[in-house]
Amino acid sequence: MTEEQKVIQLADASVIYEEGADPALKNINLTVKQGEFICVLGRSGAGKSTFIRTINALQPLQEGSVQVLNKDLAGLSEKQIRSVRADIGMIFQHFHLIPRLSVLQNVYTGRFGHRPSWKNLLGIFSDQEKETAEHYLSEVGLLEYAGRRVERLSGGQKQRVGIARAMVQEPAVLLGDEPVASLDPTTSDHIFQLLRRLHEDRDLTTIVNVHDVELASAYADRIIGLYEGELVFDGKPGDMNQRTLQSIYR
Amino acid sequence: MVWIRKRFIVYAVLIAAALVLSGIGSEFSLSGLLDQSNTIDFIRENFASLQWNLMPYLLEQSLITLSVAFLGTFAALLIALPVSLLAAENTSRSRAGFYGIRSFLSLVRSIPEIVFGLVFVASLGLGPFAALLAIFFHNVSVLGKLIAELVESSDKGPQEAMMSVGAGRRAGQIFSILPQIWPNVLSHYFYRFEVAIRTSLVLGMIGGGGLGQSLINYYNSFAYESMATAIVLIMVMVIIVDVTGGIVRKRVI
Repeated sequence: MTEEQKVIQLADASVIYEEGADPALKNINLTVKQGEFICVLGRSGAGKSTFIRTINALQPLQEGSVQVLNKDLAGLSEKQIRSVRADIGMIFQHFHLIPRLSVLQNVYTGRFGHRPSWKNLLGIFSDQEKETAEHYLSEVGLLEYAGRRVERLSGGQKQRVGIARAMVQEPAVLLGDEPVASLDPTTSDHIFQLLRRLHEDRDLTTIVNVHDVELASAYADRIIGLYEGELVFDGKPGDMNQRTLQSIYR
Repeated sequence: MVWIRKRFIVYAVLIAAALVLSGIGSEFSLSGLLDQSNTIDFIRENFASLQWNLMPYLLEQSLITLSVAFLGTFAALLIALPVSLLAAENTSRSRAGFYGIRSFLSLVRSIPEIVFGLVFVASLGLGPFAALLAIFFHNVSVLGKLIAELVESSDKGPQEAMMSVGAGRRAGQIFSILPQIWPNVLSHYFYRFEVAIRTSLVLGMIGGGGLGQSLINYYNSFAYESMATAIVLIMVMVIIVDVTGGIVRKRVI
């Protein structure tokens, strides 16, 4: 694998939330290639969210290192970390949209990392940025809702706004922290179809936490299994069997 | 007695003792409370014959009172908003800064507006400007603390989302927190505005101008009917502000 192909590399990565407590992530070693679609499986508390959050430095490591887009996150200043985050889109289980703002305004906030703060505060966006925002709203099928306040949307629609906000960053990596955990099975499947389409159209490296093994098997190129913070499975969906599933969900 | 714990009895005894001591300190009298015939006579005699001819003058004075209350509280809100981000535990840059600003706000808040008013009337002279400054300083500290508490209790999700897109610290905080707390900020603001109208009346009595000054002048010259007219105008003003605040808040939500 060439250096250009490596998008993310974790080496002996450990996260310990409290001194004396069991690590939330234990000596994780793995490499993510450009254009992979990865699903992370594991029970609640297995370390899936912690793993995802180490990639965009929302969760610092206590031991080991994480390199993202050829940058070691440990040595970066706050400004440099913001610059890395601007290239990593993230969607959340509870959407984390900004209430009282419209759908389009929420999507605009995805551009904040690429622009000076004074332009963000004054709400000055170029024609190209407006076009990009509307383009992604159209891609997630919500252009007609652009002016609607986000609290008036359904759960599935809110997650689509979250995806448009992440995509308007024009990210190199897309992370999903349990993006369908609050949604019904049909909507969850639609969201995964959308994520897969965006991934394929842009060769976008995508890592998504999910509880549903069937969804993971149907959409992922690679599955990572975590159990109590340890990496217990790393392979293709076809490599999973009863024994590997038991090691993840024992 | 399953709902009552032993310590509740101790609390009840302590509260009862405090009530008795407060009654003694305030010279509370049950007969005085029940016998309000003099008060009723006073209201009947003076409020029945309002001095409508004073209305143009009193309206002019009430505009001064409103101006003092509005400018004092609105300017205080503009300062309190950024100060509250520094005074909230989750948005302050450092623990020392958080404790320093929170303590400063408590210190300023501990000084009643009338004390500020006495100082400014003595140092700047008679007139509404002294009252304006008194209201401004007190409300910066009150709104600063109240808004800081709203900031602390706001949903962390949008803040995390703004961090994850790489937004600048302050811009991210403003966008993720302000829309969430805005209806409550307005609610606090309109309440403080209403309080400031009453405060500016009191400040008027010590030389801060406006309706309060007219009120104390009528009182000192035993012109109770004129005083009653001013009181009715005050009541109307406070009700209008209260209703307006309710309408604005409803529209914002």
